[in-house]
Amino acid sequence: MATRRNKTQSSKRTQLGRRGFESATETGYVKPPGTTGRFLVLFRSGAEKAGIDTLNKHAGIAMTSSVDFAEKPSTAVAEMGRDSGLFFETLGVAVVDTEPQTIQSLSVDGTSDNPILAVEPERVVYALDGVVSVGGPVIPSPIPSAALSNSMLDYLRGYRDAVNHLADRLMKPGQASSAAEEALVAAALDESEVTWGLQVTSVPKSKFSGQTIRIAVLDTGFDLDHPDFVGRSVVTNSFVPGQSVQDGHGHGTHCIGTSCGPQHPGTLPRYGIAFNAEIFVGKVLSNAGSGSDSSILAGIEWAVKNGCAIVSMSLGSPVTAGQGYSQVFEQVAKRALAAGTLIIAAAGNDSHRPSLIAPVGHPANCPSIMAVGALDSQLQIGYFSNGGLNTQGGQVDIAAPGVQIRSSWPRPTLYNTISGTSMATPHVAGIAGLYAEANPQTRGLALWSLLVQRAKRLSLPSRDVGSGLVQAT
Amino acid sequence: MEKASISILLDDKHVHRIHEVAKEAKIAGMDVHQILETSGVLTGLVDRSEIARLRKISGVASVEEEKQFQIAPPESDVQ
Repeated sequence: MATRRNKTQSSKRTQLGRRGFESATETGYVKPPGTTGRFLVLFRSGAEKAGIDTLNKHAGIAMTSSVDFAEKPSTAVAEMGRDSGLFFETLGVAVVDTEPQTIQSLSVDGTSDNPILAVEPERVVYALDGVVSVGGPVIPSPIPSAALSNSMLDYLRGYRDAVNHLADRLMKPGQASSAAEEALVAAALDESEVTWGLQVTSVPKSKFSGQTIRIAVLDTGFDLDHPDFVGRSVVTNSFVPGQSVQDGHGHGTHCIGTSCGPQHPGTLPRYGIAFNAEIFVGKVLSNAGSGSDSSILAGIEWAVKNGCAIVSMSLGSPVTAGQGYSQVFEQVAKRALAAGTLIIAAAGNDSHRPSLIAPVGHPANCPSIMAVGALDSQLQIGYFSNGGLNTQGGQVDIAAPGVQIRSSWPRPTLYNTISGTSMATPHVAGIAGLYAEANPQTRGLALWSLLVQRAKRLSLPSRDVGSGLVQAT
Repeated sequence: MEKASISILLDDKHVHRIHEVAKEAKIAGMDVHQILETSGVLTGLVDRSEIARLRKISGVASVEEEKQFQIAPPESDVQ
């Protein structure tokens, strides 16, 4: 442990008032508002000792280790003198009290042999209960409604209703609410090269293609001879008694198109995301579009057994208000997650907003299944998209493009533009495929976290969009 | 007696003994169609009156009647 230097220099400083709270030093440095005047130094992992030596040699800083002040770290920081520092062993970070020009002279250039990764001014922070820190508005703590008289409650309700009414009249429907959302909406109007859905989810910017990733789409099957999929790896299985995998409906071909369609389709625009993924087609819905739990469970079993990182299920069965979720599907989904398979399902199309919002359907309402809501090109919620109304499970986890979505369709039609949470789901599945390729160790719940973390937060209720608009990068 | 299509979920401890549980379900009157070893689920048909008996089998965590799915016709705008 380094010894403390002679502190005669610091006595001059104390004449100016409490150390660290003056607004300018003799050198003219102006401490940014909301900072203490001290600095945080981040050391490169494994190079902490070299970093401490650097600070000692070049800045004359005497460092004390957290090991030596374990009892009263807050006191240690408060009593720290000029040209000294406190090193938090576990964090690899030191708090340093030194001249600003000293710390600024340290080269923080990110080269591999520099033990110092970053230097930042130490910020002042405040507790958040009811009072916002300096510079923001003061927000009063809420008064318990029991303390409010009836006339006061009526007044507040009336005031709130009047403000809402005025705001609704002034705000045009379909207006994006933030600069970021407006930028996305404006950019996606031209569908000559790439569908709007791929544009707003940043798919063209991704360096990945789903190479080596197995994506299972459980649906009405696939048009196995569609010209856009020549040469692709396609593994198939039918769980519909008496019917082959060949898609006699169209829905399955459309969903496979969105999740796994080609980078260069026969006809523009590009509509597919994971263009090098290995496609696993599980027919669980008949050519008439009907299916049952047993065929879907069989499809999930097959996908998990075959090491599919992602299962996309654009299907659902309506549930009633207050209804819970299936224990069977919840446990199956949990076991799938543990085995490295993420199941993504459509929230359902039973709603008719604004007058009717229906709850997320089965099996997307299972907590361990990622439920997807549908957005339009203005990043507003699709009128049919279900919401997270029920208290037992039933949440919408994420949202994706689901209105006027162009994708592949069985021959001879080749392409079709339709809407639904069924169309939003394979957007998430395809993007999950890109993340799975980019992060080979990230599967199951960890892959779920990545998708949610990277989603673009919207100004819409999380009841309808979960963590927001899925993003490929 | 009307037959119901059901799914039986096995608890974590019995997943690896699914074939034994399937045998017991058959004895209790279930027509077992699928044994899903990885998921730990049995599906099949059973008389409604036997469902309570199935629930009592050691290792059975849940018995549910299966739900049906129906997507919109191909010419629909919303699917």
